[in-house]
Amino acid sequence: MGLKTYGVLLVSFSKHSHQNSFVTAFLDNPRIKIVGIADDDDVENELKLLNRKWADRLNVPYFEGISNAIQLREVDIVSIGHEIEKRADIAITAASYGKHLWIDKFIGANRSQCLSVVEAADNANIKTIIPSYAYNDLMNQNNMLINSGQLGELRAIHIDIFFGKGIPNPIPDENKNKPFLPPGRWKFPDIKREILTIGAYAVALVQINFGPITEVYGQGGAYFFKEHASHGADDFGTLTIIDNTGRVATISSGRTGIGSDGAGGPAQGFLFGTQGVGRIDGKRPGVASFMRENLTNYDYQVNPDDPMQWHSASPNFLVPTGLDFVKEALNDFIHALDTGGKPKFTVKDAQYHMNLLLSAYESILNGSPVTLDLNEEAC
Amino acid sequence: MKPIDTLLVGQIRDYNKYFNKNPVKEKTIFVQIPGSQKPSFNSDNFLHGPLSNILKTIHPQKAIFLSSYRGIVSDIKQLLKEQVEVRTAGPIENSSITKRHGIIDIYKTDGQLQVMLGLSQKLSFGNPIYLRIIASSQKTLLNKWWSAFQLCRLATQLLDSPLKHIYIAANGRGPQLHASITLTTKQNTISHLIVPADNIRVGDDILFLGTGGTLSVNTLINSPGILTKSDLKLYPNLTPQNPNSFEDNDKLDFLNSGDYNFYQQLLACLRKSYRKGSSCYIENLQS
Repeated sequence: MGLKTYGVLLVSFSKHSHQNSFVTAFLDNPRIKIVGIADDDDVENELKLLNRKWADRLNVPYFEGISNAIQLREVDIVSIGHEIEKRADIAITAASYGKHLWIDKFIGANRSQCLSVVEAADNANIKTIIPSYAYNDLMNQNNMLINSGQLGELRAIHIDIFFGKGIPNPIPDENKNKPFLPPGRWKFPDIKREILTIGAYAVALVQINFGPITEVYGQGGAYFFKEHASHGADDFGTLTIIDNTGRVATISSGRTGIGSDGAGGPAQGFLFGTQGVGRIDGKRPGVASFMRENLTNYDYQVNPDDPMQWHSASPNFLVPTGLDFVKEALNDFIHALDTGGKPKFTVKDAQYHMNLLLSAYESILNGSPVTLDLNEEAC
Repeated sequence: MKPIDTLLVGQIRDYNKYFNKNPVKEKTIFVQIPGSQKPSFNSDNFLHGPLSNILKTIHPQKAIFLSSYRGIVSDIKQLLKEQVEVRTAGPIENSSITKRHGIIDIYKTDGQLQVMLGLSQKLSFGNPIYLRIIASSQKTLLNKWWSAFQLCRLATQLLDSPLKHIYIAANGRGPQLHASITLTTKQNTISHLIVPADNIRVGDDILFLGTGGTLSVNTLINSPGILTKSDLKLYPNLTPQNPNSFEDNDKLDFLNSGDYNFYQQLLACLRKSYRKGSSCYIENLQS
């Protein structure tokens, strides 16, 4: 008997999600079959057209109404790429029908949504994975150095992760000291909250390396983009995270503009151990690419329909040649489905992860470190 | 008594950095700080031993302390009493004396940092937003303090704004103390200054973000290295460090009371972390 093929339902190609980045890995894996695309029946026309376009391209049906599509017999896995605010409801519905969950980056928009998803997944005894954090090259290098034993005991971490995208413009004086926007509203037509969006990768790396977190300190309020400044919403920020053994991690992250890097933005870290320091670089290995034409004929313009470059790449003089993290995550998920094992980053991990990010925002808002209670669950 | 121009007081690493491979002015002598092992080499201008004893045989016009040590206060007192001009790379734990000796900024001798400073002032760099420095490691609490002091001075210079508050999270004790300092300026720009444990020689690894671009000093890339069958050995980069510029400062810089108090709080935070392992927050700085 051949190995089981798992049917995947793609729920929404929302512009704030990475559903489109998952498609290639799903198509390339012989154990996976994309069985359809679904979204709410009342989504805005632009998203509906995009969903339909993908359905045509993949030659699968498009379902208006998520719940009915989830219930189809051929659906084993629901890949959730909807807006962050809608993910928890979709996940809970899918769990209630015993469908396994593949969720893009965040399982909910707040602590209570995250908790509901974890409870629903536990009750349904399904497999879950958040593929974005535990399988990328920065994490793989981290694991290799830690497991080498040569660092000794890990005592501290520093991570810099930036997206070198978009073109910053001067901040008008009236927007320079706007009150910092509280966490909770994550998406706007023109911006994303970038500590959440980009800092999430670094926070996950720290979470995986460290024990239970006891303190989070965040800093924000300096801006690259006038769009973010006008909302009082972060395009850049820093965090300090301390665990129950006193280990310290510092993180800087944000959207820093196309001029900030020749490789699309650094993704690098330092692992400070008792025996030495390890340096990791998520953009390496890579091939440096510097062509005369890039200088002499250079006329790069950011697409006005995608000014923050959510769906386009910035000029890049380094082509990373590392592993495709989506494919790695998918293999881990299929292995868990086959064997009953546990993927490296589940909804439970994502719940804790969101709690740390929310604590960072609360710290920025309050202007002081936030202490986490070790006796409490993450939510 | 032998007249000399300048005493440089420091660790072997200071000697190697500033003295050994650089042309220094005649009549300059290097004195190794107490508490460190005497090196195997001999040199006419390298002295080892308590400074109080050395001062019985030589009389400098100027003394420059590149590193700190237990007993530095009494040595500086003696030098000031003998009308010697004193400059240090950090504060000492005595407010009345600190106000009487000059402060030097190590970055002013570092060709790489001078280039970075120049580039950051170009229009195309835009406004500074974030500075991250991982400093060379130091062994003692006093030298970790001086390292943090130098980093704070450099950060305020590069970020071009006074300090607003500072947060220190530290881990490890004694030479293993690792301090991660988050410094926020009045413009809300941020710096992470990392003083690592004394088990590495990263060198100063720097990342400096402006709204128009990034400046970085990557110690791995900047270090010459040898690849063998089983290993990679890195050597120090050859960026010149000019010790004479310590002396060429046209005007002496003194710490004012506000700065002195801040750096004393910084020491208290580091000491608390050094002994107990905990975070510390200093706010509403009057710098």
